[in-house]
Amino acid sequence: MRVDYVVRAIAELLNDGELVYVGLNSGPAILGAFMARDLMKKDIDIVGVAEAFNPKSITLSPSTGDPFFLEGSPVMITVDSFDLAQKGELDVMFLGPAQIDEETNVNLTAIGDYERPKVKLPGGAATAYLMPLVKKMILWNLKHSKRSFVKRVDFVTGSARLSRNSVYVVSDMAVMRYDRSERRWKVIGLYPWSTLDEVKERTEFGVEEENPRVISITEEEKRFIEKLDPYELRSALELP
Amino acid sequence: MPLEEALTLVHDEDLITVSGISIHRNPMSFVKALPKSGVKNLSFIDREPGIALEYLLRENLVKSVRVAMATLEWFGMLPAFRSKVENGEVEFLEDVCGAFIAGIRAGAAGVPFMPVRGILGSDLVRLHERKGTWKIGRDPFSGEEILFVKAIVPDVAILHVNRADRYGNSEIVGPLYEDEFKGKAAKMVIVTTEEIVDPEYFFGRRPTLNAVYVDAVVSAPRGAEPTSMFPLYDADYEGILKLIGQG
Repeated sequence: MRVDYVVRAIAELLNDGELVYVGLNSGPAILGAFMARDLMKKDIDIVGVAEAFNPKSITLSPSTGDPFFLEGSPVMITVDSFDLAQKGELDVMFLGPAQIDEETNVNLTAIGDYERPKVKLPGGAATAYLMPLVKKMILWNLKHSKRSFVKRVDFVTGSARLSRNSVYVVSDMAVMRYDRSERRWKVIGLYPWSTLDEVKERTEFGVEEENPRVISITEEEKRFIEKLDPYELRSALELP
Repeated sequence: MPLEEALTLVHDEDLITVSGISIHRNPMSFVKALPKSGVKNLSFIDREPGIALEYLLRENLVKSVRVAMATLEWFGMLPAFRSKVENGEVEFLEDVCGAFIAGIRAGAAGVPFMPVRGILGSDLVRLHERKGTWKIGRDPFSGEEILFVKAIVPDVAILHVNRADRYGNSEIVGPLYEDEFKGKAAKMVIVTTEEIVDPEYFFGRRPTLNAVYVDAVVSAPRGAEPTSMFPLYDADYEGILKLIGQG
């Protein structure tokens, strides 16, 4: 599954020593975080909306807030995790916005007008709060097109433009890093099925390459993801 | 207290909040009984609600909603929430998790507002400033620009818990979300509980919520269904699909 490569790309972005928060409706993020910790053996701590501190292991269920993750861990409430963010001690957050723009603004609120939206989205949750506060923001979007990677989002749910943190986006076409000094997105990863030209064609704002490498996945990594998601819930994230 | 009596504690136009998130520990037995009470024009406030909000919207009990996110995750958006917001049938104000937490903590502590970091730079700021729920201000000590969130004081909080004694001392096992603060902030607190325990259970032990905050205790075994109740039962996925009209 292509989404497995996305999981792998997310896992690669995590580093030793990081405290990582996983929110609601965050399948690729939770799989990526556990791959980083348990397969790549990165020394990270995983917390999240399920309020489990570093669960021993998980089985992906329809909710990434599944309280049964607590069967192998103590409780760490979101209020405490978010207080850590205000103290500058929460390292990584993941978000899956519908739109991302050239300035790191993201939209999870609505397509069209806020008052009478063409499409109402689920809402930003902690987006506005955490985007400027975490040290590393990892965005994902599995529908890389000019409708999702836009010059300017319809609504700024949240933004990292007033922060100095690192921002990445992992899509189904590329991995990109926001370069703050040049104020541009740089393509740092591609997939076996994607090219830089295709990424440019499908992005409304200008992007540049920065030695993009091809993201690969081993059989062992595939089996690891299958073990965490035996019901293949992640297949719902795949493009038709 | 019998459920019927507790239902009379919710009044027309009340601002209500409920326990849990998404498909977990929503006070469903109480929420499902609310339409019978005839109550209407409720306002609803929460961080990341799911099934309870969807049910109340379907039953047309709610006129305004203020939440940071409303999702059933793998099951998709809340269908009634989505259509009612898209058609302008409910008043909607999008909140932010960190701001909701600040506001409900201010309500719990009895202070008028709480500062919160982040959020500046979001288009949500001007919407909330217009509503009078947030204000950009300055840290009086450092002069730094920071957001103030007005205290959130719900009229009623309905909280489903694992154990409570007859006085209202309540214990939640597993994730708490902001339920402790909801119970401390709200003017009226209705606890529905899986189990009523003897008051001795809480001797020497801190309840998640002390009796002093609680106005009604209602026995409600399996009272979160079809949402999950840690560690007693998992979410009933078929029941959820049925409730959202996809079963």
